[in-house]
Amino acid sequence: MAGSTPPLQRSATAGLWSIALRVIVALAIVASGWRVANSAASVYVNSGSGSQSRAARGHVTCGTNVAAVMLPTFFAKSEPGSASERGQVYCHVVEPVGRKDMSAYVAVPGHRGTTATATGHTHVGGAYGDRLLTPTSGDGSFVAEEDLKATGGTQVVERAMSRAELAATRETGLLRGGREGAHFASDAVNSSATRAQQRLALPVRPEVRVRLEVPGGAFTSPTRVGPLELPGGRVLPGGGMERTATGRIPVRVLGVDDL
Amino acid sequence: MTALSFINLAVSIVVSDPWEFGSECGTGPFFGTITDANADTLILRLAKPITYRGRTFPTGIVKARHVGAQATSISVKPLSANIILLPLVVSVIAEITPVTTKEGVVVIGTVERR
Repeated sequence: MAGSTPPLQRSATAGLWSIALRVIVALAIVASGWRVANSAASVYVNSGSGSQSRAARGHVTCGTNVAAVMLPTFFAKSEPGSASERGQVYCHVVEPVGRKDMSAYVAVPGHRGTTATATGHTHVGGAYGDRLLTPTSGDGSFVAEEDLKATGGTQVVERAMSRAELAATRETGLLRGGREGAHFASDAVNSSATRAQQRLALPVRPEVRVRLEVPGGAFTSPTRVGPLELPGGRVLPGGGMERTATGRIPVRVLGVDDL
Repeated sequence: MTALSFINLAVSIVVSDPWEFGSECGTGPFFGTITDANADTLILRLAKPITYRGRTFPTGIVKARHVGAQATSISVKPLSANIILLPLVVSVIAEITPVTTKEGVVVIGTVERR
């Protein structure tokens, strides 16, 4: 037929269009964060407030130039998830999550260094733990690296402890009741006493998980806990992340969970 | 520093956890001397044995608490450590077995060169 495209050329043209279309779709997906939202990328965001128990659900938003999607399934997790993406993202817990879902997870695009603030909600002072999240090296998991200085200079940590220590903490308003020595705390302590003991390689089984608001910058960056060989040869595997601080650290108890 | 050069090095221990240890014994500092060392482990002879829950502990086995840290880093900075207190005198790393540590007690703290 005169003027028509030969079948082979038409097939090749269609193939090129198909490839181009797939590339465009892929780029659009990446740009929107959707691919990340459905991948293994997840980030732990500290939350913590006495008002948390009033809300059954929560959600997380990120800076205006960060495409992040909150998926319900992320609420079910209790530890930082692995991530295939690298980058930093400033996230903000807009609404408290349910008491059993203190850990909020967000999907994170490979975005670097945004400091955009969440609109309409400003919990200055760390009530919900504004965080600059950065990936850890090696295994691809993410941790809350540090508070953004502009959000009030506090951060929220969790510590597995005994009820006696909790009482001393409340009484003194100081971490570990003001005792000398290094203070160890985590961004997220497991809700199971056994699991918390294993992950944090604790010599005794903790009784409570306490969320504490502490001055920003008081703690070091997180470090991975190594295995602990108990007397007799039993080994606690470790693997959890914990921060270290020294000195007298004023704290505000934000919440307590029995383990 | 070589492992050999750690021997007889004076160190101090401050115990952070368990919190209840501090209630009974205080947090320290407890003083001691290194009797054997390698990159992973230090053996301490406590200058004054610690009495805890009715038992006396003259020896401490020190290992770095965090991944990537080495016990011998105390030559340059305080070490966050897992410490097994032993109710018997052990001087060399070769003596450490599940049997010798069976009656031990684990504490977490900081070990620092004096």
